[in-house]
Amino acid sequence: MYKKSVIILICLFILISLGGLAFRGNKQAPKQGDKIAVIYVEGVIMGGRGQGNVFVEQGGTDQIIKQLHEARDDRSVKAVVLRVNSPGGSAAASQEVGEEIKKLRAAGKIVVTSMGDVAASGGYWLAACTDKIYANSTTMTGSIGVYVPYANWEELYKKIGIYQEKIKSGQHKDILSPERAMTNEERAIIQVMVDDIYNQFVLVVAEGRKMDMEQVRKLADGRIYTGNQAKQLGLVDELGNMYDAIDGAAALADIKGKPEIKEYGKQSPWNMIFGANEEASSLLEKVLFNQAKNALNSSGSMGISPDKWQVK
Amino acid sequence: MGGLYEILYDILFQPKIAMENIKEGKKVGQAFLVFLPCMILPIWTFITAFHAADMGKMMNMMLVLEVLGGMVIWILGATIWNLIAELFGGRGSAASLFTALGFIHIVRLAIIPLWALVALMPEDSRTFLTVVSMLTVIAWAFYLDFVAIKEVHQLSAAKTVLVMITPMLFLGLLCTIAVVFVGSSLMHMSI
Repeated sequence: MYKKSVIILICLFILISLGGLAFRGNKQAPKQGDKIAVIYVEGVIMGGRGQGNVFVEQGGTDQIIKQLHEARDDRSVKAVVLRVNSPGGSAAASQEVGEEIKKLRAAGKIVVTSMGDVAASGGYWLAACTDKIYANSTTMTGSIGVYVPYANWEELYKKIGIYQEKIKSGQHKDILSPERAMTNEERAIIQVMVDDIYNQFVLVVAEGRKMDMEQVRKLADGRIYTGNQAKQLGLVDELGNMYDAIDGAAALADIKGKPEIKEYGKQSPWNMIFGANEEASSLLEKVLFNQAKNALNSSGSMGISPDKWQVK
Repeated sequence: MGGLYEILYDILFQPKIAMENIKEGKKVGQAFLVFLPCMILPIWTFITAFHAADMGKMMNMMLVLEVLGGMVIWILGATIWNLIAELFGGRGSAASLFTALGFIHIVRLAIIPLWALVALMPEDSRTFLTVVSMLTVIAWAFYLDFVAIKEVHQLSAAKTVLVMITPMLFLGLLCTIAVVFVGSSLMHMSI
């Protein structure tokens, strides 16, 4: 009986402690207030799922779009800060993310861009779709334009004795093939397509920045600008870092007090341990790699692959 | 249930007697009854009181993992220690050791009042006191493991310590061998 009483007393003591701790926990729990989501766009913007393995998932617009959807569906998220650190990518990929940002804004969420080291070309396309753009004064931005890489390896192939024969379903099925020179007609076709994409890009910038098309065209000769220059030209709204962008987003979303930050696409534990962060230099390497890959991509039997279209 | 209260009291205050009683009776069911809340309550308290992370949906998964992980460790611990104890001349049964180790989980509940006390302390000392309280409970559990193996298998104190540290020594040996092999192969590659 004595032992039973002691055990019951101990159990009571534990239960009281448990209740006390739970009460303390509830008291100290952060209030579920208005949140600002931070979504990262890093590296070359490519369509699809990007590249990944069991531990790391990088690039690919599917992931970014999924995060934008999650932010849209989360009622506590009042604003989204898009942290862009990208030299650009494919036109279609940039466009699909840009359109998703517009849908997010249409759903009543504020979207603010914070530019990191580089937010050029496709990266700027995304930024132009947001409510406000913050950049550091030394951020590399702009590069509004489109190019299609093409390399002619005809002479080299002759030297090493390669002759490629093609049975085509149509005259232009092997357009951009590297083993022969491009014809004038093909050049005209590609130019029309480049102009079309360029016009779409200019339109996105003009609408997003509330500028007229001619004004954008003057700036959109493909050159890059520093954040400072971009601000003077009206391509950027404010100079500041990511936390300035968060404060700006909170002000636009009319969030009172300190907003809660909800980061999407956090680094995996594997990444945190082994540090697979993408530095600016590696971004440049990726651009160069992509250009080289496009130039060497001679086996495009399905015709023009989307990643050949660089928004640049 | 009267038996259960007695066993729990004895485990906390007279572990030697408790282990003798456990050895004689088959109380695996009661041990499991003790094990379950002792695994769930501390982790639940930790999550609720300290907001270990932005848990949300993770909480249920953590609880399930805690219970399953605890179960695996309980079974593996009992199996391995029983095997080693028999190799060292132990005369107990695996079921008795398994039951005893199950009841020992009761000391995990001591962490809850300890955390409650820590929560009342000045903020600067809380981290230190939390670590101390956890180490205290771990040390207590190890002591009870020691008593359980010793009493169930009727071993001397020295042999019991040897039984307890043998798996760790074995793991250490394996790691050393692995490091030596990896190291030697890397040296070979650099030449």
